[in-house]
Amino acid sequence: MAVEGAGLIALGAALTFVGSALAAAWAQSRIGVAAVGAMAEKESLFGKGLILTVIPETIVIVGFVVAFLIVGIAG
Amino acid sequence: MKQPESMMKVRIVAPRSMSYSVISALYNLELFHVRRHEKAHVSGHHSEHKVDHPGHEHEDNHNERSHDDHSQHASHHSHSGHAHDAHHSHDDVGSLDIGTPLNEADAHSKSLLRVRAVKSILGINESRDYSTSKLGPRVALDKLHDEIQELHTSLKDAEERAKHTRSLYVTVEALEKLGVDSSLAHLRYVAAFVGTVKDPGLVETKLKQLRIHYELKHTPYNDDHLALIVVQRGHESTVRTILAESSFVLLPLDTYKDLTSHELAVSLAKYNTIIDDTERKLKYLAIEHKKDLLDYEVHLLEEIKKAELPLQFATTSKSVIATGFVPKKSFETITAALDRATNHAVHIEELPIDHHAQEAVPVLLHNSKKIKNFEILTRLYELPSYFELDPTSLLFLTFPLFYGIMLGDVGYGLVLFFLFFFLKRKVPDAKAWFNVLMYAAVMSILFGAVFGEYFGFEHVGVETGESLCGNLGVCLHKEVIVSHGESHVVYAFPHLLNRAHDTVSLLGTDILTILIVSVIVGVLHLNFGLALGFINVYRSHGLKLAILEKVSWIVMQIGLVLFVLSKMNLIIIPWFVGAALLVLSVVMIYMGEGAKGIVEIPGLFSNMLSYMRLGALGLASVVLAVVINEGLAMPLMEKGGIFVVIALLIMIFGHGINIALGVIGPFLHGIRLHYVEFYSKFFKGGGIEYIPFGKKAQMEGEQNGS
Repeated sequence: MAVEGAGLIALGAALTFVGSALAAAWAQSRIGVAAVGAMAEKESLFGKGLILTVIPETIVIVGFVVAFLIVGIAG
Repeated sequence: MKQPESMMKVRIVAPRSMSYSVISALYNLELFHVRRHEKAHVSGHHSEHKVDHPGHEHEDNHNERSHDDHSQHASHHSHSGHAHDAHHSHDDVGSLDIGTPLNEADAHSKSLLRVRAVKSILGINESRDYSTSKLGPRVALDKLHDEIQELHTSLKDAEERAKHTRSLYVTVEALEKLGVDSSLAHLRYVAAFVGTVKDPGLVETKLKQLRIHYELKHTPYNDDHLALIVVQRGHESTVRTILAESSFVLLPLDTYKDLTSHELAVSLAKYNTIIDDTERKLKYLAIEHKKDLLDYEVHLLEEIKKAELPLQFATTSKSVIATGFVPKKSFETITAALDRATNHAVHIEELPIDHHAQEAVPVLLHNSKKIKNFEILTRLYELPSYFELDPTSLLFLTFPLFYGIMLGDVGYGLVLFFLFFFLKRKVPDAKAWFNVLMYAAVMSILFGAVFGEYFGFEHVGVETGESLCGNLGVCLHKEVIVSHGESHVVYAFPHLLNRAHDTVSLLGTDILTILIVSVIVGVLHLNFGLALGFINVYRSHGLKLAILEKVSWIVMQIGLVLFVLSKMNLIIIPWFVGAALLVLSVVMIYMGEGAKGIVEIPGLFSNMLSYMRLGALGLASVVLAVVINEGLAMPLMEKGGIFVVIALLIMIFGHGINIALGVIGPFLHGIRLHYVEFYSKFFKGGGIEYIPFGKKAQMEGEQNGS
């Protein structure tokens, strides 16, 4: 199934994913640091810290879905 | 699906003189979770009105003990209390003073100090969590303490003397070697210098340059040299300068005037004997009293804990009032025990638990033995509040399931199962963790069979497949797979779903089936969570709010599905039915949760898509395994010879890494799907642990304290 411009389509999907993954990682790193800092003060904050830390994962999920759509629709 | 153990809020009123009996009985029962009494700040006339009121009443009434009477009492108090009290609690004892420690506390603390002093002198470092003797302490502490103090003092004294004597001995011995005696100071024609110096050679060179008659003798002394320098009289001042330049330190000879090394050696030996004797005595004492001392220490810690408990009580001039929580099923036990301990002098009443204000009732989870292992996962996040469902049994159902879907490999599952089995033996403290992980490993094996994956192999080559079928009678399914434009014939392992290759067509796009399955699992899981949320809200806030807050989300999903399907002409329903349901659900959410709810609407769908990680993590694990097998190991394997060994090493190393990732990834993501996506539909948390007053609480307190 050699679609014309298959490489570009794959690249587009990859870029989408890379961008969202970097964004999520950046956000998570900053939140994670703060959360661990808070946990050092009060251990019971683990639950809240975890929730706040994983919130940016939504970004990467959206990126994942969009990458899929790009491959699916354009491919 | 259970709620935490039912608790009863209980108030115990006892005469002050009975404090110790009551506290001892509570300590031995280990059932009463004490709620700290806090003195409320109420206005002047308020408090005046209330002081002593409950105390008197209870003291007068403590003989009327029928159950009816208690509940009447309780309700009576609750009404009067509620009407006045600014606090949420029903207590009408809020204005009473906080209790004071029992008189014994001081004496016990002093004894504890002594026990610890004795322990440190005897060199006993360990301590116990519990007493080994039922008879109580049998050691005469004061006598032992004095005896040991005395021995200790004489030991220190002897050591001090021995040290002093030894240093004298060293000096005197060196002086004798140089031939120095007291007559040196009084010689008429020569002057003598005795002292320590770092470098006698340097002094000698300098003396030589003076061109006078001199004599220099030296001998090693500690780290330096002890030197004797004799020069003609008249040159003292010049020599002194030289000596000062060479950092020569004069020895005060007078100190050593009448000492001989022989005498010193004798007294040194005498001191050493004393030291040995004393140390031996102390060692014997340590062996003799160790057990008793440890028991005594535990006993004192217990007694101090008991003596300090009244700090958490309310008190009047004649009585103490303890408020706390007991498991409902143990109420009879505690009443009976307290009656026995105080000869019916206590008054015990049940207080109502404030459901509306979600009073902080301690939480005791009660699950069957298997499910109990999963309580560590519940605790890792937060204990459920007393009024909520305990999510432990749900974690038991779905956590291993998710883990299995994510790891899903028979080989990896087996390796992990035996690894955890082994580690459980090695590290008994983390037993619960390994039990949980073993359940997860079993599910990985099951899902590995569903996906047909064995250490990343989904199929075997033609030759292997044919020989398996011919020689062993294990015939696998013959398949033709196409990769890179070439087609291969392989024998695939039986499977219900191939994670890496099976796709379904959705809206004209091929999507991996496992991802679709994951989202379906997510939708089911989330709606189950919403149903639980409905139960929780219904119990604490009533039906109306439960429908608005929880059912609304389900209506929204139904509305969306109907809307999409009707728009695509897949069902024969006008599109506005779905649209109407959508609008209705949004209105319900707004009424139930306000603007915050509206903001969270996209969150529901991102939550559902979040479950795609179930498939995605698995895919990553499969692809890595396939790369290790087919990309790296197999080509080497085919070369034969030494390459087979390299290929095997690559496989062991590669799969080792993949298994390690396969423990961390699925565990974290499995637990995260519960904490973040699932819990947010029903769980509030914030429960406080039920820690009854007694031995266990004391041990934990000690550990936290140290």
